[in-house]
Amino acid sequence: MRNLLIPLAVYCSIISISCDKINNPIPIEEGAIDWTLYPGGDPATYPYPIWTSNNNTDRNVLIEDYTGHLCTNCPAAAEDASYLEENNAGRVFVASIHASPDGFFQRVEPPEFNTDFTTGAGTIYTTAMPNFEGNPSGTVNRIDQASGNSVWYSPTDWSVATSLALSSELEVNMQLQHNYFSSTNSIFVHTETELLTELEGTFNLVLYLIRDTVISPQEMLPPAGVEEEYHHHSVLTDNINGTWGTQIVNGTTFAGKKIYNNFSYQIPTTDSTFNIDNLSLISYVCNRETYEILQVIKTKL
Amino acid sequence: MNFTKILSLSLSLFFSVMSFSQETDLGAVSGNFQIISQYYNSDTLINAILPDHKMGLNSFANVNYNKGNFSAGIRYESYLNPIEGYPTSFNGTGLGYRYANWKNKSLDVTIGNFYEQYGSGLILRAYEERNLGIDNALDGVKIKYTPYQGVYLKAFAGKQRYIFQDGLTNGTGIIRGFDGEINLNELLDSVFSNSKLRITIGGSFVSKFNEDNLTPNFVLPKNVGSYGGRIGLRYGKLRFSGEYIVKENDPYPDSQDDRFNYIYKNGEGILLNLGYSTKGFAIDFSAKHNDNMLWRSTNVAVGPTDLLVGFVPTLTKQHTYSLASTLYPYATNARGEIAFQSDVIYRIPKKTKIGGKYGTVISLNYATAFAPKREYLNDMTTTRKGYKTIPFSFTDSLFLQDFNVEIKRKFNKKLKASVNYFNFVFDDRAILVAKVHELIYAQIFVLDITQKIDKKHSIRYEAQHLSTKQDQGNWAFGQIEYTFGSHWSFAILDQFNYGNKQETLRLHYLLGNIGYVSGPHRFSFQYGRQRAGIFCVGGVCRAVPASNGLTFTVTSSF
Repeated sequence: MRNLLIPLAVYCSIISISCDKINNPIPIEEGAIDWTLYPGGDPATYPYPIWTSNNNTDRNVLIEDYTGHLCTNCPAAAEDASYLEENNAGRVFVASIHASPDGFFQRVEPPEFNTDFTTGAGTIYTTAMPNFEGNPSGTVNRIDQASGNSVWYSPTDWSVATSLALSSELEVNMQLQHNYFSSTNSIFVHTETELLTELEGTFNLVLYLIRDTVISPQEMLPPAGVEEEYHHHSVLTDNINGTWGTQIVNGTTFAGKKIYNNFSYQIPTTDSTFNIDNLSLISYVCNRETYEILQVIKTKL
Repeated sequence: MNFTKILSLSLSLFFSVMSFSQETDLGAVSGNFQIISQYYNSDTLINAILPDHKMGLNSFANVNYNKGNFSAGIRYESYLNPIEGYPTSFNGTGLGYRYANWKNKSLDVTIGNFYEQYGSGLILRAYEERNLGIDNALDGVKIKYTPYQGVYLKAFAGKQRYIFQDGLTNGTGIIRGFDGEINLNELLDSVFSNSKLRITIGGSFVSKFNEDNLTPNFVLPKNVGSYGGRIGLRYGKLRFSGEYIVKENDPYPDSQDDRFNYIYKNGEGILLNLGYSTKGFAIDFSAKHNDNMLWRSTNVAVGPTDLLVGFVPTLTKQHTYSLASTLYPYATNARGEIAFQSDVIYRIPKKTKIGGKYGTVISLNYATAFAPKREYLNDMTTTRKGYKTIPFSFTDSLFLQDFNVEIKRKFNKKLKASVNYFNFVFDDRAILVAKVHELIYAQIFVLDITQKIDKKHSIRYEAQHLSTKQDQGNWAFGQIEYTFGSHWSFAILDQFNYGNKQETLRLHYLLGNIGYVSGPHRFSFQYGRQRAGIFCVGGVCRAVPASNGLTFTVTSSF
């Protein structure tokens, strides 16, 4: 039986090395991370971000400016939105959303209006959130107006609504980090959402891909007519994680909870406006039932 | 049981009896049993609840058969209903343990249930602690093989006992392991036969397989390995032992603290012991680094003592006096702890002025445990290692400090006494006893006197006092135990929580006990109040609720 010692030792060694070593404990979400976009494709070598504590105490504001390149009153509204953004730098962000329920002001109309700025998500928002009043119109953190049952504001009300929203309580904090891989023209996006108060309900994380500037024709108020090289500002281009984003809270959660999400996204190569230097991400957490945006941040890519 | 099973069982028994009857030696049957029965009274003052079943009963009987190299046995258990405070997962009546074993000089094979320990138990300890309701017996096959004198090999594979519901119910996880130990003095007899140096080295590997946890949030390892080595050295009166164990990524849910929830950090356990002993004097120093060493055969949340594969001992003295052992006992912190303990025992020689006619024994013990120093990695979205530690690097976050002294002296043939002093600093977060204070400072004095009246009669007095400003305040304890003849003993004891801040809770816990011993049989009746407390053995604890009633106990062996 002593001759069995060596085979036994070999057998035991094989058993010893057959345990599971998990290098990436977070499961790859379907549609969230596509490792083929990571050069080399080996998740084990991926440079995940290191998070530092988020000391922000301010609630930021997202003005969603629902516009259209054939809407003559829209450029003035866009100016109002940009003014609020510039005067509250780092606290107020604008997403120009080319959308309406019937798409009338957003239609492609050659020879000048050849660009389709609409997105599926933008159009859905105009019908899902009740009482859309037509372009130009907008939301300010999608806070329900005092009149009730509407998150829509006319541009003249944006300023007051923004002031109120800026001074409201911060319930959620957010951080975002990303990696850009030029060989696959892809971004890997990582978010940290920290719940500062106990939340109850359903809350989603939404990521907008924004083109910072798109120079394209815009119908202006008469007698100006078409401005061929109009600077469309902060244009919603795509929803990285779907129309309503990713659900991060369902039910009741405790204050202090941190939620982490990872996404990958291959940037379209439609034209030069999709260059990485012209892109930003607007990410926000919203109440899926009331649509209210609890916090928003903007990250230049 | 269907007909086929009854028939096969009957035939087996018949042939077994027939085969035995053909030999002159029928083998030997041995065993032991215990019955604990409690009848409860309602006592709202101490929150002793009268359960619907009014009476609890825990009993078991081991029956072993041995003939030559072969042995087999069963343990029949009954929990009808389990006595209050015992895990409710023990319920019903049936077989809780069965095994068959064959062994000769070099080979030892067991099938069925078995207990096992590798090294100090950090990597594997399947054991039974009946008083705590712990029984993580393995159920499978075990082999021990001794190819050469001084070389000891062991291997096993099995499932673990989980709960008892009218019989043994195993967990679904599978554990397998092997262990090798070499005693160099035995192996190299020609070299070491006259050496004062004794050397033993060993190594173990234990792994588990389970698919219990179906969380979609994490990729969980199904096979988790743990391995390590140990060494034991002895040189004359000096001895040293050390063990180092690593447990690979083994994430568990932790609903209390997100920083430890499903972390994939390797666990690490280090136990060191250095001792010196000579006639009348012994000194011992132990150190422990325990980090993330919770080691179960399942990765879902279960009861604190369920399905434990490894055992992380506390480095504290196991106290026996009631106020010292059950009010603020220390339980191992499963997340991690750095602990140290030192013991000094000195016997003042007999027939000296200080030592007296019979000598005096002084025992000092100091134990302390701290939270490990952790460098958190902020990687919970990525690798989830959680944090880094350095062996024996600890914070000033104290879990426990226990200093105690015992002086024992025999004055004459009829009188002996001991005096004990305990000084505790106890972090209530380790095991929630008081649920109010985080640090409890307590001092306990004990006087224990035994007086032999004559050959058949003796009386023992025990007085204890605990003082603390926290939790329930001061306690006093008194006991008189009278033993007469070789059979009977009577005891009466009272615990009085006279320092409780709430006057209505300044209660007496009076208890009487009658015992009768006859050979291997022991009977006892106990009546009165028992306060709620924490019962710990080796750092593993369970809460015992307050009760009021009559307890009858029988233990015996045959």
